[in-house]
Amino acid sequence: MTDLLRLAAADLALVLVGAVQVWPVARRVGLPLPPRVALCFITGVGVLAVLSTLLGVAGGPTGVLPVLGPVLAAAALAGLIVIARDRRGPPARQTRRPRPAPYAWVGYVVVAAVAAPFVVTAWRLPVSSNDEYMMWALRGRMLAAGHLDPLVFGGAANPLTYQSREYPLGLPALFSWVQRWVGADTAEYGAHVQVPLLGAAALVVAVWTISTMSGWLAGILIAPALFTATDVGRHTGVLFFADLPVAAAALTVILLLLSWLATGGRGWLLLAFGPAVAALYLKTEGLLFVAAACVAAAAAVRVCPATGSRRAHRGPLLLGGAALAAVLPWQVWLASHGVHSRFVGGQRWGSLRVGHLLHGSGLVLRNMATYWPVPYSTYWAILAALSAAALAVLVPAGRRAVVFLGGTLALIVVGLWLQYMLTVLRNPRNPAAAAGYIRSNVTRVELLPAALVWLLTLVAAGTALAAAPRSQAGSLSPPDSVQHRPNDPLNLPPDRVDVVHPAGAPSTPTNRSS
Amino acid sequence: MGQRASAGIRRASLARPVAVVASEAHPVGSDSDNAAGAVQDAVDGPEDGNRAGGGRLGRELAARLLASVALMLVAGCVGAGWWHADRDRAGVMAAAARLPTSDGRVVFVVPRVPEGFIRYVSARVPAGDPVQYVAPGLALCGTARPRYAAWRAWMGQVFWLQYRLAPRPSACGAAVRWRIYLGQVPPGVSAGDRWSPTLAVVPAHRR
Repeated sequence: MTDLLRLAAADLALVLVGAVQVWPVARRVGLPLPPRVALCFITGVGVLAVLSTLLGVAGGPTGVLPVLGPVLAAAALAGLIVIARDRRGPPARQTRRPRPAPYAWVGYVVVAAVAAPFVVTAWRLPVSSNDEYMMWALRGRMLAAGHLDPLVFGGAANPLTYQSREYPLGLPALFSWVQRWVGADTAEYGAHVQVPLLGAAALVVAVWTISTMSGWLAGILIAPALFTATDVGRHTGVLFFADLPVAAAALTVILLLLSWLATGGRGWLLLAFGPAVAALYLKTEGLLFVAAACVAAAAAVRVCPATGSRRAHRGPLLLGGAALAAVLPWQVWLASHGVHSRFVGGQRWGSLRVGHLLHGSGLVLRNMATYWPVPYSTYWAILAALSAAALAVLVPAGRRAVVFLGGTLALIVVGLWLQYMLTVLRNPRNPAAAAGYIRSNVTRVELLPAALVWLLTLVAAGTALAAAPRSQAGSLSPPDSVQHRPNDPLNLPPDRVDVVHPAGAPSTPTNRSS
Repeated sequence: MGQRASAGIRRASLARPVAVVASEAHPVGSDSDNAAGAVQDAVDGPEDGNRAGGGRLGRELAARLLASVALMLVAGCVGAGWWHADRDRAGVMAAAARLPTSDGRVVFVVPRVPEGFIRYVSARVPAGDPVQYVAPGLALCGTARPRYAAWRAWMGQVFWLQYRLAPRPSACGAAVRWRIYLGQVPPGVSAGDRWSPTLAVVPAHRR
């Protein structure tokens, strides 16, 4: 029981750390308490990862004491003050806020009901997978010991023996953090719990976002999305693997970008920064996920002629750039130690033939489809995605969201295909040699795209069904759903709100308050 | 019929969307009490907002039908996926119940690295002392390509020892304070440093 209380304190501290950045912005944009706390947790994990990495690459102590703990304690105290001031202060004016989602609590209950068994299982399981004791948990132990062990992390190790050294420090830092709170003997159990907790946090944000955009039924159906994949029950949802956490952080980024597309409030982009950094620090695939989401959001603004601002697309690109900048210290440290990505180098470009490319490409695509992480035929997922595309054609109201989510999904799939092709091209005459690696990797890495298919379909279908009459759905009109406060720096003026105008009509403010 | 359709659409309304879309915000010439018309506008978009015709109704119905089918499809897939994942999770729990326990906690053991040896090393090697792991054919330091057979035979045990012996750092070269031999113990190692014929921990200055 004491261990559980300590673990709860460790996570609460991370929530308070995240609150420093999240709370004031979330209040302005109208994010309610459950998703706000969830977002604080994910952001707190990102802050922990950044600080641990900065200390490590600077040669400082990577353990919680003597530096990291006090710094985070100060941040948590600041977070507590921010929250307390918020509670004492006058209620924020209703400005550019999403409509309330009165039945979102049903979705939160579903998230809790689905995630709780995974949390209980994770708490009871010891470290037992070689991915844990050769990499994630081992690195966590080494970080807790105080420095970046050169044999485990750096250039002193034989690169053929210690693989995946380029993986970032987010998850090991979380292990180290938990170990300090609950002790070395309980650390692996407490660390396991963080995995389903991060998944649940992202799903709470998903429930609220989808409930407000596409209705309560869609909000409930998205609730278990990250806990429905093939490998989640055995490994990625209950052991110390990075796949579910990185999918959770990236999914949060995607959801916040979705809210930005819907409301135009810059606050959503600010909120997305923490999860974006967390995703980049949790696993290398986070780079692909975040980049895909940011590029797709920018493209959705440009492709769908629905915005009053010609520069709106810069927002998500800036977000992506800032998140990339936050992960630069780790990349620079890796380069200085001669540690490179496993996908870069070793390709035999000279012996490459078109036939090799086609054969390898086909093999990669077949494996990506065959091992798509659903326990039934991939056909059903493809059918769902196609129905979303058809709905986007039929219902303009959801078109931009579908373009964004579909674009993100497509970019991620292409990025993963490219990643596996680079592996195949190391031995282009025998692409089957890479098939084993692809099979073992793809079911875990495709967790996010698998969840994205459901998100895409639910947004499209929910929006189509939610096209309610105006008499009752004043929610669809800007003055009701989004109100402008001229001096609010986090909110764009109404002429930048995503407004669909008749073809050829100039973009004019519809509810300018001045 | 119109009233019934309107009521049906009201009941079917699943959301209070946040998306700000002027096709919905600018209902030019639309009748706010005509639910079907409003849905029609949202379905057709602003370009077609004032156009009448039977095709619009068909398009609207098609959209609603497709959306309903899509929702059911997702519900089925998500439900089946969750059932499968939860069954896997329960299986993992059942498997864990068969593992040994220590102080009420399940403990995973790598059979080829006896717990007794880990306790022996933990008692002998101070927490901050760097350790080198030596196994036949395994090159942990440098860039020499390890033999695959050696890598396969020993790396799991080396990783497990590194994990269990943390915070003792791993090292190569002059920094090494202790060497842990796996599989093959050199002949000169004293009996006091041998834990078994295949496992030993030796102070670096001795060998």
